Formats: sequence, C-alpha cells, structure tokens
Amino acid sequence: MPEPVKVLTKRYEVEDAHTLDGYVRTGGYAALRSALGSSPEQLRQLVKDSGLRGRGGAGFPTGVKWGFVPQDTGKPIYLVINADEGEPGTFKDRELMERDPHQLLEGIVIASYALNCTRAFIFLRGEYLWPGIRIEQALAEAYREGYIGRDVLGSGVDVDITLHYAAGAYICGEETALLEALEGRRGQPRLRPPFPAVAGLYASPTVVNNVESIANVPHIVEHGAEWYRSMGTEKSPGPKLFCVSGEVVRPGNYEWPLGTPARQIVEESCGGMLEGRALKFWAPGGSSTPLLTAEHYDVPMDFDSIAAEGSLLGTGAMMMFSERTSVVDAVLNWTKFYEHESCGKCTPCREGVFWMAQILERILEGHGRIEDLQTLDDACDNIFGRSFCALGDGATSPIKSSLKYFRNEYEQLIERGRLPQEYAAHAGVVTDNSGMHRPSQLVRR
Amino acid sequence: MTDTKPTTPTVTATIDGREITVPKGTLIIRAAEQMGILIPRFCDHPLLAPVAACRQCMVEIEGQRKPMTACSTPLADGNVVRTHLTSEVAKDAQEAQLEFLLLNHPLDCPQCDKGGECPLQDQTLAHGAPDSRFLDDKRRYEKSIPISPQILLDREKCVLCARCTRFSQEISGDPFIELFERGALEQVAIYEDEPYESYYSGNVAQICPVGALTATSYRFHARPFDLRSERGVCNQCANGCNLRVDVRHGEIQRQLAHDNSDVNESWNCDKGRFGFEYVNHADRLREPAVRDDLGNLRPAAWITAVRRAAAGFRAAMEAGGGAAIGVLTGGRITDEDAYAVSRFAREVLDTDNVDFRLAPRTEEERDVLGAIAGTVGPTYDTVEHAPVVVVAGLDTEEEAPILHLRLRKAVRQHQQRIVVVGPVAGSLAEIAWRWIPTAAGDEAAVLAALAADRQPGDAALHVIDVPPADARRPDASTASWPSSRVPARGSADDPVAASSITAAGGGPAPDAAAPPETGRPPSVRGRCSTSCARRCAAARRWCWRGSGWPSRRARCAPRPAWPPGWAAGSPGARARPPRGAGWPRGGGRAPGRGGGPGPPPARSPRRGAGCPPAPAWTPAGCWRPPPGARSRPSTWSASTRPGTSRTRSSPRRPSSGSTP
Ligand SMILES: Cc1cc2nc3c(=O)[nH]c(=O)nc-3n(C[C@H](O)[C@H](O)[C@H](O)COP(=O)(O)O)c2cc1C
Ligand code: SF4
Ligand code: SF4
Ligand code: FES
Repeated sequence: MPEPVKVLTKRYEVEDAHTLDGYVRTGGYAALRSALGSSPEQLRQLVKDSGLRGRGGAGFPTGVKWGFVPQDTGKPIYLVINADEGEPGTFKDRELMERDPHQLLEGIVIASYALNCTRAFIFLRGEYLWPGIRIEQALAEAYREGYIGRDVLGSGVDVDITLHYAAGAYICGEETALLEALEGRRGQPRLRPPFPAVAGLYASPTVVNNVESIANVPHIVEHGAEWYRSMGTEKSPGPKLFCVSGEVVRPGNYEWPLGTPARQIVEESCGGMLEGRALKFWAPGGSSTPLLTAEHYDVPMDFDSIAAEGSLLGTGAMMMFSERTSVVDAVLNWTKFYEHESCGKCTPCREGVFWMAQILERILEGHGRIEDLQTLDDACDNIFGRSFCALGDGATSPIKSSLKYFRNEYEQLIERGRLPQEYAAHAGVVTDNSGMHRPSQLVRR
Repeated sequence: MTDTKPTTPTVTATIDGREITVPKGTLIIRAAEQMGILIPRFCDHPLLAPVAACRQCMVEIEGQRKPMTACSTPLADGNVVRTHLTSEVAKDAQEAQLEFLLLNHPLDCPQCDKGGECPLQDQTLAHGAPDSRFLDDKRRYEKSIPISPQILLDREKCVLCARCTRFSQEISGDPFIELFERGALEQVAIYEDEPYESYYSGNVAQICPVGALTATSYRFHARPFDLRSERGVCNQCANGCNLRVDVRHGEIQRQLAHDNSDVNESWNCDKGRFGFEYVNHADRLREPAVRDDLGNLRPAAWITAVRRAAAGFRAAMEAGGGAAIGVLTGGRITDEDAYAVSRFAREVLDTDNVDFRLAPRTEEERDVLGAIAGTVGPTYDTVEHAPVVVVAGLDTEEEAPILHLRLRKAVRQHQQRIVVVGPVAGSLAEIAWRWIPTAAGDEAAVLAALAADRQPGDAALHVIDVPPADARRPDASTASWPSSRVPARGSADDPVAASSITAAGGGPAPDAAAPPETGRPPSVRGRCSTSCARRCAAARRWCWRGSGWPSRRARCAPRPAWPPGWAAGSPGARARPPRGAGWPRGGGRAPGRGGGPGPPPARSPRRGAGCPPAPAWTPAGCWRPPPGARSRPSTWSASTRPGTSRTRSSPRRPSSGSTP
C-alpha cells in the first residue's frame, strides 16, 4: 500500500515558508544552485528521465514538451506558468502558491534556465488575490536577493518573471487561449498547428506548464530522477496533490504518490465519507472528467489506470458525492458552468452546451420528456471530438457519464416530474455572477 | 498562378476515392473544390485566414481519431479523405453542426434579405433535418440595428463565423467591428466610442454567409431570384473593380464585388458598391436629344440621333478633314471602351484628336501623359509581389482603395516595404516602412534623388522610419523591435539598402509637414468639406459627387501586442496638415489603364501600328486592366469635377462598345 508523501507539501506546516527566510532555512533554493552548475541540456534530460507528467490536466510528459522547443530560431523562448486553475473542484495550485510561493519561483528559474528562457510569465487566475499577494511578496524578496533577475546568483543567467493577473475565464486556462489573453486579445483558443512550442507567445517558442508541474522541478533537481521515479507508478511517477471535496469529512489537498487508490486517499486523509453517507458517484479529476461510481472506488489514481476505467485523472480534483445528491442536479450545475464559460468560438460547444443546459433545466423543472435523454446523448456525441478545443469535450463528460451510470435516475425524474424525497430541490443559489441562475448541488446536511 | 512553378513541392492524396495532386500546403477544402466537390462551410473564405470556428466542413481522414475541419487542414501526402459524399462520419458531423446552428437561428427566411442566396438556407435544404428537436428558448436580440449608415446587423441570424471581423482585421485593416461576449451570448458588435466607419464596409454584407449583415440600400428591395445580374466595371475610380450589377425592373438594386483575382480579388469599396443611386436619378439623361431648328434640345429616337451625328461628322470632315474633329470621352470608361472609341476616331473619323479631358491640368502632365500613353503599366500582381513599392503623392485608401487593399495584403503576406513620398503618409501610415516628407509638388525631386542614389543626408531626403503598425507580421519576430524604431533591415543585396533609404536622414524637415514627434506620419482623413460630409451622413448615403466620402475621424491604429517592458511606439495624435494645394481628387484615371485614350503619341501615324496597343483581353470578354502603381491620378477628368453634370459619364459596361 502506498504511503502519503511530503514533497510539494513539505513546507505546508512551516509557519513562515512563504517568506524567503523560511524557505531558505528549510533548504530552499539549494536546487537552483545545483541546477546552475549543470547545463540546460542536462537539466532537460533530467526532467525527461524523471518521467514527470503535466499536472494541468492532460498529463503530457513535461520533459518531452521541453524537448519540442526549437533552440535555434533566434527568437526568444518564453515559459508561461498556467496558474489559471479554473477546473471546478481544483484548488491545489492555490494552496501551493499561498503556502510555498518560493517553491514555484525556484522551479520557474530552473525551468527557464533549462529552456534558455529569459522571461517567464505567471498567468494567475484573476480571483486569486491572496495567492497573488503571496507571489508578489515572494517575487520582491527573490529579486532583492538575486534569485531572480539579471545574473541569477552570479551565474550570468538572466531570468525575469512577470506576474499577470488574468481576468477570470475558464477558457483562459486552455493554453492557446491563455497566450491570446496574455497578448491582450480575446481569450479564445488558437488554431493549431503551429503549436505553442514552435509559435506561442508573440509568435515565439513557448512552453506552458501548470504550477504543480513546475513545483516538482526543484525536487527532481535536488534528489534526482531515480528518487522521483521511486514514487508513483512506472508510467505516472512522482507525487501528486489530490484536492478532495464534496461529502467527505475533511476536504482538502492531500499529497500521495500517483497510483494510490481513491479509497485510500479518501479514507486515510479525509476521514472517509460523511457519516451515514455512502459514495454514489465521483469525479476523479475535475468536472471535465467523466464521472465514476462506487464500483470504481478502488481504482489507482494514476493517468493510465483511470483512463482504463473510461475517465481521466485530469487535475486530480476528486469530488465525492453520496446518495443524497441528485446526479442530475450536479450535472446541471456543471453544465451551467460550461455554458457560461464556453468562449463562443465554435458552434458545437457554444450552441450545444447552451442547449444541453436548457434540457437539463427543463428535466429538473419537471418538464422532461423521455426523448430528451436521446437528444442529450446525441448532443454530447456531436460536441465531443468536434469542438475546437477541449472545453467542449469536457462539457460532455458529466452528461455522458451520468447517462451511462445513472440513466434510471433521469428516467425516474422525467416520470415523476420532481426529485425523490431524499433530495432537497434547489437548496439555494450559490453565486450569480452572470445573470444566470445557478442552483447549488443538492446536499442535505 | 505561382502554383504551377515546377519547384513547388506537391502532395498526392485521394478525396472520395479519386486521386489528386496539389501544391503542398493546399487546404483540403480547396483541393476538393478543384475536384468539383463542394464541402459545406460557413467561416471559410479563400481570402481570409482559416479559423475553423463553424465546424461545418468536417471530413473524415483515414488514421485520424476524429473528423477534421477541411478548411484548416492542409492535404498531406497519402491522405485518404472522405467527405460527406462518401463518409457517414463526415455526414453525421456536418448535419450535427447544422442542427446546432439552427438552434438559435430565428428562421425568418421568408422575410430575410438573404433568402434565396443564403448558404445556411441552402445547407439546410440540402441536408438539414426536417424537424427541430429544440423546444427551448432561443437567444433573443433586438432586430436589425444599424452599425453604420450603410450596414445593419441582425445578431439573431448571425452564425458567428467571424468572417466580418476577420475581413476588418485582415483585409481592410480597420477593426471597427468585433466579437464581444462569450458562449451563446457571443455577438458581433461595434465599439461604443468608435463608429464603424470603414471604406470597405459593404464587403462584410457580401461575405456574411447569412442575413445577419445587410446593406440599407438593398434592404427589402428585391429577392435574389427576381434579379437579373450583369457584369460590370466600377467607374468610380481608376482601380477598375469588377462588379455584379443586380437589376430588377430595369433599375439597379445593388452592386456586388465580382471576383477577379487579377484586379479586385473579391472586394470593392463602398463608393463603388453603394454609389449607384445617380443612375436612376430623375435628372439623368435617358434618351438621346437632338437640337431642332430653333436650337432647343428635343428627345429623339436613337436612329435619328445617330444619323444626325453621322451627318455632322461627315460635314465636318468634308469641310476640314479629320483634323477638324475632336473626340472627348470623359475619364470613366474602361480600357476596352476607350480602345473602341479611339479606333473609331482614328479609323472612321480619321482624327488623332482624342482625349478624355478638356485640357491638361499642368504643363508637365502633358509630357508625362504623352510618354506613358499606350504603355502597359504594372499589374496589381506585380505591385503585390514587388519587394519595395514607392508611393509618391498618393493617398491610396482615399484615391485608389483597391490598390490600398493590395498593398496591405503585400505587407501582411509578403512583408513588402512601402516608401511613402509626399507631404503626408496618409492612410499608408499604418503599413508604410519609410516616409520621405516633401512639400506638396516636390515629390519628383525626391524620386529623382532616389533614382540618382543620393544619400539620406541629401537635402531632398529626410527619411522617417515608420514603426511597423502590425505586430503580427508573420515573419517578424517582435523581439527585434525593441523600440518604436525599425532596425535597419537592409543588407548588401537589399534593393532598399541599395537606394540608401534605410537610415534616418538628418535633412531639414520641409514646411509642408513637419515630422511628428512620434516618428509616425500624420494621416489625413476625410476629404469632403465638413458640411458636405455631414449632409451625406445625415442623408445616410454615400457622397459620390466629387470627393466621395463623408469624412471620418482619424481612426485608431491597430494596437500591437508589445511584449511588456518594451516601449511601443505611440501612434500619437494624428495631425491634420493642410493638404497640398491643387491636389487631384480621386476618380481620375491613369492613361493606358482605362482613363480614355489619352493624348495621341506625338506624330504617330494614324492607322495600324500607331494605335495604342490593344488592352489585354481575355477570351471570355473578361476585362483585365493593367492597373497602375502609377495610379496617382495625374489627370483630372471633367466629369468628376464637382458641379459638372454627371450625365456625361460614359456607359459603364465594359463589353458594350460606346458610340459617341
Ligand atoms: C478548457 C481548459 C481549461 C484548462 N484550464 C487549465 C488550468 O486552469 N490550469 C492548468 O494548469 N491547465 C489548464 N488546462 C490545460 C492546459 O491547456 C495545458 O494543458 C496545461 O497548462 C499544460 O501544463 P502541464 O503540461 O504542466 O500540465 C486547461 C485546458 C482546457 C482545455
Ligand atoms: S470548444 Fe469551442 S466554443 Fe468551447 S471553449 Fe473551445 S473553442 Fe470556445
Ligand atoms: S455577422 Fe455574418 S459574417 Fe459576421 S460573424 Fe455573423 S454570420 Fe459571420
Ligand atoms: S468552414 Fe471549416 S470550420 Fe468553418
């Protein structure tokens, strides 16, 4: 059985880890010093050997991504840190930046050096005010002490870091839309190819990496690829932050090696499901990953095992729901999110999600028709793989998977016209930032 | 086409089971077109960069997990592509997109201007579902709102294909129309504080694949199937855009740009598109008139008028020979008409006294016109592919709008360098590479200095660098623009370097236009008097008389995305220096291009060899003008002068030989 690890979270308990003093006292910036002693090629190879896979959702091997960057174009190379963290249920980057901002900055400097990049950007979700303040403070300290800026630690390497507060749109987490937004344009995804590695920010080679991915880098440099591979599975090595939420006793971020069974994470770290509630359905990696059921409770949380069950590891945001939650209502909540966040560029996502949200709403209001289920299913098929970017694909995940596992709940709802007694209908409106009505998920406490 | 160059690498693939070889990089949708397979599309336009937004053009490519958009995927060697004609996957994907597009569509085809020529309607008819599964609420917007005096927008009908916005960004370069909001609420809109004042706005109505953008001048006037279409050539300026003139009950209902890749591609300007109301004006002569014995003009039958004219010619020739006759054509006929007239004059009337104006405006013009009459000038294609273009004393957008679009295209696609010589850089300020300010009328001295390879220190050559206005020029690494100054890009074999205008000179600034602080040339907008412009705008119609356009405010330069920390050249306020006195207005035509026969070459023999060479004809009667980079309207045609009766303008169809 895997044991919980403390790599990314190793300073979470240190009171002043967010300050340069606290960070350096606990061994911080040692990795940077040793990284500056090796060549960029060696560092790129090291990250490749470590098997680190991107933590932003797609799980693409980071070292391979770095290898795609042409080094001889004569254009600058940019590193962009994706701190937009918009995936519902995901809050790992936020805590990482709040509690240990220097870990991220150290990772950025090392990665920049490895990529021969002299200017990195942090694209921070607009709502993340507190993490932003922490990053700003950390940047100021690190600049002052020469960990960032001209001639880092006297090595002759220049790395500048720009913090950019985004305007708060889920689509701006998609890497090409992020680059558009960073350039000051409408946040809509770009046509690929060319891929960002070749022509990204300002038409120059660009690497976009998630916060957590980059936070892993100093540890890999410090302890080596061998050590890194000692955690996790062969194809998904390393530690991972799992953000568990929903009807569990202690929701929060927990660090486990990849490949730890979901049940172990929930039971050992979160104290299990709330008392008297049994797991009914859960999303393994944010709302864009297909739902799983209690049947899949023991699935190892790594990229390949989850994929084998027909879902995705995504961001590792586990949202756990019990018998007391209506899956239809939860799905409507997510669908409304996608409807609101669709960028509008392509037809299937813009129109299809708008349609599906209305159908779900109608079903919940008691005006569903049994044909609607077929329509929902068709609409999902017509969006999936046909939309411009992965947001459209993600929007179909909850609907398609809930229809697969909980079709009878939909049918009952359509037949009876209302939710069964044990669910409270529309427990309350959570936020209304769009003029759109967004019912909360139905959790009766 | 450059495609046929033997050096171009090709790819061979099959589409719907048939093999095709096309140049590498050809998009699947274009390759299929060549085979006669029409893949449905909305956002695709051959002259706009692909966006792949509407997802209508999906095809199946063997080996790909999911269907691909034909409008954005280049055909690769060995591809096995199946379109909706042979693939269920592609057909299914396309029908699904159609269903999605119709969800929010108001379906008011019976009262829509586009009905009958609407790609969405045609698509639906061809393979749409007979019934809708959509029971819910459609998004609702206020019906057609005017976004400019010429253009109306109905957001309910819009399929958000972004053709209009891309046209504005990529082609006309005046991004006054944009997409706003997101999700199902995404919509086309204009800025609150920047009116949609484009010289090319009519094109967006033409390329809109649905009835979302319509022209006020045509709204509810006719149905496409009631129209008879004639081909024509625009007579508003020297550019010679090909037109489709749509006529109903003998009256022009609208004019559209007709595709001609050698001239106007698929575009025209609003003056050419909307400036036809005078044709049906009550004051216009519609039939010949003959003077009676008392000297009064009386309407007459054509045969009477022709006989009368013939008799007059004959009498004049008997009295004084051909030399007694002069033929004035006016400056707005096509090359072909001009050629026909000049042949008639020289061979039948036996005279060389052919001209298109009453008198040369300046003495030097006489020599210039004599020297260039009958020569075949550069074509739009040569202008587009020239590495450097020197524009002297011409504000292209104001005076030759389609040439302006070509220059923009050349800058965007071929990194052309434009050197502006004149008191203002005008509309070219945004795309020019260097500006050599002169006093009005002194352009010739600069050209002579350039030709003589004189250096920038020379008094005549005060060269001003113009920062690249478009930071997305494909080849340009923005990193090489550390400041608002363009680094000298010249090299030893660079034609520009050779003419020594790569460095900023230190000569004195001429009085006419002192170089502005920002290094960006001032631009002059709007050439009507203010009151005239206001009248036109109030009347919501185009001012075709004389100067053409209601004035518009200086518009914002496209905002380049400058990397942080790098000073972007501030466009600054555009000064409005006095325009050089006596500048010709738009509408004059360069000789040898269609501006009439021009003055006869001195002492040319009357017949045969001495005639100006025939203009380039193409077999189908398709008219191909050799246009001018030299299209500074060095001529002043009588009929364009304000106050001169327009009724003297000549017939406007290229194919109809005109008889004076
Ligand atoms: C709609 C959408 C939203 C996304 N949002 C985020 C996000 O908030 N944060 C993130 O790191 N990656 C997000 N991604 C994934 C990024 O596109 C990209 O894959 C990732 O930043 C790459 O970093 P990694 O290789 O380190 O995982 C999103 C992708 C999509 C399609
Ligand atoms: S799927 Fe299409 S509409 Fe949706 S976010 Fe991506 S590009 Fe925009
Ligand atoms: S207005 Fe017309 S051209 Fe513009 S986006 Fe809508 S459908 Fe396309
Ligand atoms: S035509 Fe290809 S996506 Fe619109």
